[in-house]
Amino acid sequence: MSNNTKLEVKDLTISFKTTQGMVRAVRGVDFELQQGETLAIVGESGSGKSVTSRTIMGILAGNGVIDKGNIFYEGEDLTQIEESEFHEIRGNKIGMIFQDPMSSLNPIMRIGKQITEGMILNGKRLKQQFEKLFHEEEARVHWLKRDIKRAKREFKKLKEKAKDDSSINLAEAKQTMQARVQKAKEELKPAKKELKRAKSEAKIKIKEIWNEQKEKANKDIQVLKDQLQGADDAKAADIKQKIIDRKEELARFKQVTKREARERAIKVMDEVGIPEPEKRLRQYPFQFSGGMRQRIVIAIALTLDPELLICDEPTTALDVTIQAQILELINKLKREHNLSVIFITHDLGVVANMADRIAVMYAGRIVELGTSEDVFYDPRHPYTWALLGSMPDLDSKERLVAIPGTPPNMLFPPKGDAFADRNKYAMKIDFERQPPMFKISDTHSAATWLLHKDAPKVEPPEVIKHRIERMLKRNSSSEVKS
Amino acid sequence: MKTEINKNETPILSVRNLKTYFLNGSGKFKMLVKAIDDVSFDIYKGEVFGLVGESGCGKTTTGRTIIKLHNPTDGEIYFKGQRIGAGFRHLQEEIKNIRQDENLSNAEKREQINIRQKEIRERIQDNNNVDFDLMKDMQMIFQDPIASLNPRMTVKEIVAEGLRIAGERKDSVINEKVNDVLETVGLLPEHASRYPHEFSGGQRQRIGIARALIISPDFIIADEPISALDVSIQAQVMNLLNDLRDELGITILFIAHDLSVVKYFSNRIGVMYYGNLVELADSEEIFLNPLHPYTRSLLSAVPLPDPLYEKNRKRIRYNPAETHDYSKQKPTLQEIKPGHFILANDAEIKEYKKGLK
Repeated sequence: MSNNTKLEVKDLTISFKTTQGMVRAVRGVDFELQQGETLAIVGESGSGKSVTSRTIMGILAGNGVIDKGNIFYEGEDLTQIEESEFHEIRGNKIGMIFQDPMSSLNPIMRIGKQITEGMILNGKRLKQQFEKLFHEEEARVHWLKRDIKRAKREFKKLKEKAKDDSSINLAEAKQTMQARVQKAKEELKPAKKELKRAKSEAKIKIKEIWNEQKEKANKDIQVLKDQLQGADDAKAADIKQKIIDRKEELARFKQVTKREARERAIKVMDEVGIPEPEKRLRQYPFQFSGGMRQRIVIAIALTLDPELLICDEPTTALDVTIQAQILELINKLKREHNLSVIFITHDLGVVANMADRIAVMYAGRIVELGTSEDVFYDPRHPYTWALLGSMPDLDSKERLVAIPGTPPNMLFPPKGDAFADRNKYAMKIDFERQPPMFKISDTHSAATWLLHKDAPKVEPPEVIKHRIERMLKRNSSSEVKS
Repeated sequence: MKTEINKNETPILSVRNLKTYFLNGSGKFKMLVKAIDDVSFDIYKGEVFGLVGESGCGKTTTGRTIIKLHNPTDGEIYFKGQRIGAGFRHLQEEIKNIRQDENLSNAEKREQINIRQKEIRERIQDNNNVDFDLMKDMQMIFQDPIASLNPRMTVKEIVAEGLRIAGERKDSVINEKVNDVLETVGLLPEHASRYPHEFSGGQRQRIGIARALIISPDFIIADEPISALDVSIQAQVMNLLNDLRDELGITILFIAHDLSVVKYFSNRIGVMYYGNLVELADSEEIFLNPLHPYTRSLLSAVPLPDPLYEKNRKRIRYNPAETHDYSKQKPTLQEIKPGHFILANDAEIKEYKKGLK
């Protein structure tokens, strides 16, 4: 892992508990994201791209389970940390733009409130300072409690396994479990005491800080009040304003005030290109057009200055011109804030403009990963071919290559390559064994048996070959011109 | 692959100066929304006519007015030579003007008003009594395959509904026809007894197409049939529509906002902007010679699966207030080159002619 790596996802596997059984939504996804880079995840609906991004954001639905795998964000494993710790990352570090601007905004809440809500909730500065003072002790207690639970759970699993497998020594396992629990419990008591002590100490300390600030402010205000007596009207108004400002300053020491949040909201709205932000703050979502609504969703994500932005199909509900505007906006913000972006979409055309690297997902796995030049000019996986062939560009006249059939039912994930059923190039091995990622170049890899050294040589469909030739010709001719 | 169109024939559908207005709000907020404001075009037999524009420009309203889901405010619609819809707003205004005219004597006024009132009566007559057999030849495919299918009806009931309304009572005939049409759109006969929620998006759109096809229409209005679908499924539906056109010779009015799809599919393209048709030409021509600034801006917004090209793509912005000066002369739809129409006034036509390749 190099220093620049912002996010690393390793062998992530997610299932959903449903009444019919476990739906294997994501089956071992690996990728990493560098600082300032845009990674596009492309795939059909149901391929697990949204689930992956939601897991990174920590908002997986209640019935979703992370079976295995890790998500490292700046070296911290997001799958292991507690909800309260996630609060500090979510929004502050990782922001998200949701798919449908119609349904992700609250229709009966003014825009201003929706934009400032996150800032005010996340902005209890004094409280955060207080919590930081005893964070270490709290974490220790939390880990011990977790350890006890985990030991019990592991034993339970083993017990179930032992029903079928007689070779497991239950008694011994029980003993080790009990010993582990006992040890943790013994440690837990002093840890709790320590936490209590740290907490009360922190309380005193914070109170001191706060009182000091308050005193300072009161003194200033008193001075101003003294000046107020005997001042003429114009001057009095000025001084009164100063008093209000001083009070505001004090309040800001404690938390993000409404005024502060409002100022920031106006600034962000201006940044994403909403005209007359002061007036617009007081309006409801229905008073905005689709493109404007999407801008608001982006503004909400930006208020907390995230370093990583996840865009979940931000332009699917919009038409072509508005889509172009929103994409330009995201690109501009990315440059200005030096954001890393994960861009999720099913439309390959959108991606060409945005992405540095592209991951094509199918049935919960990444089937092709490469830079955008790799994927567009030298696609290797049959699914990527199919995706490219199914969309007409401005020059295509041939019949489109439609993908026959539908994606597999992930209640019963196929044994071999998930795409084999819909793939006319499928070989026998595709139905039996899952292909590993074959490396094509340093940046480019694809999961298909066609790349195996014993596989027959297969050319991509004519439509795609023609198109790539056409694109390369056009680009070289335009380069000559320029 | 696109079929050749004989433009000397009478068009299957003509739209003349069509206007559809809606009244919105009440009290002091009451306002007139001009969803379509003076649109004229012809569609010839066997062609696919594409209508593009951003959302809210009136392209869906045009489709719905043609199939008479809305009544036209003004203008006329001819289908196979018969007038099927007509509005009379301009006649009413003329009558008002005549009444206020002081130069005319009372007898003259009455005479002129009578002529116009007779015309209005005729138009109302035409509007209300459309030949049922004629209208059967026109069908519509709706945008949203989820919302446009009744969730409580089986596929067979949905598909057969039109047939029943058309007067078919025999179950055996209905079954046979439903099975036939399901096969045409690539579904299986056993799908007939299922409900819409059991199907995927692409299959649902096929049901919508089957419903339109069952009484063998000559003309189909396809209102964004693929906008709500995934890219891979879009190709399936487009190929299906292509086959239908080639095999059954159906004329299609194809409404969409995605230019690359419209280009791929249509013989001629009309570009709409805020209720007006701003440019109309053959699909090749419109991409070779986009003249109207709005068409250019629309073309420059189309994303292509080509990273190098995309990195250099410059989007052209369109601002009607800056681009056009219509204070002296109002624009009209003019033919700048055979088959290429553009909304402009005389001064602009001169400008555009220079840019013609």
